[in-house]
Amino acid sequence: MKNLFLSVILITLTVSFALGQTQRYFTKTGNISFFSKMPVENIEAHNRSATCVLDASTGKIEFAVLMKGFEFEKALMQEHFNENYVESSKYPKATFKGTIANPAAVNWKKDGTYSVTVSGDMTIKDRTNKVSAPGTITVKAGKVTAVSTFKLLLADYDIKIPGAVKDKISETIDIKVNVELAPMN
Amino acid sequence: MKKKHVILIIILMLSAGAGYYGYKEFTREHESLNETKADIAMPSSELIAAFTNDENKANAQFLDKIISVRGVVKSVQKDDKGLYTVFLGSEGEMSSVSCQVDDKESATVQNLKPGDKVTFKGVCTGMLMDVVLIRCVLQK
Repeated sequence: MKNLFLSVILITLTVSFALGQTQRYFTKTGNISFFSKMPVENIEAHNRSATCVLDASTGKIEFAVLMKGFEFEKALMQEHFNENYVESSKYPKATFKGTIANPAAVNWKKDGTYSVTVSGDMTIKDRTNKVSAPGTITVKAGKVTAVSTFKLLLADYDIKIPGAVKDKISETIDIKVNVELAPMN
Repeated sequence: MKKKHVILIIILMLSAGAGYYGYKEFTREHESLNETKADIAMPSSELIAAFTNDENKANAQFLDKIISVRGVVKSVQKDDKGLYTVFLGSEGEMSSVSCQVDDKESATVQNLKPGDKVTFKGVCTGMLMDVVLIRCVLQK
């Protein structure tokens, strides 16, 4: 009887330890790109050195990206982006700190694709706004891939479009996030 | 009459020249850093230390600069598009220098292994967990 009692305690402890263990995932080579349709030419830039840390137990997720790491095909467009639009020398980083609203929807131990909603604070050019976006989390062989597409309003981040090109540049921009996260020990 | 023609031709040539220049400038692509001289040369540990000690100062000093950084390969990552990132640093250090290899240079780094001593030339974009260099080319 005493033995049974002990075993129950042991099992309970083991299980709660396993559940309570915080499993974190991260990457230093996340992909973030943005896209905007223009009548003459599309604006498109890619960044492949975004960092992302995800805490599977709490659903907390954080991103950081260096503005100067956004690469455009055309050098002039990249110079304009850095100098006139995002002032990347003054504001080198953009961050997002949020949580997965429904972390229970994801079974981190089982391969599969899960739909999630992430909301939190987006900071660009020192301006912070609440952002909420749908996304998917794919678990495969211990690795986690997080993907999302959403829109940002440029005016929310004090990104001004010069008068001369005002009607050529869209006021919103599509952001695409695709990060492959590995377990962090 | 003849003078008028000459002026007209000059104006036409000038505007064609300006138009050509504008077009070239607008469609200009990034030069490979193979052809460009580095602004600064230093070991990876010094670059990391500069950013960890005073990030604002390091930003002012290194952002947009072409840095030739020498160090030991800590790890090599290849993404699903076949693009490489080479991390320079040592096992004990928290941060590394992350060299995002130029798309056209993938073949030159595919055989790099941890422990190799290398020098990369790239444009510094700042620091997150690592100091990041983009458009990197491997120096001989």
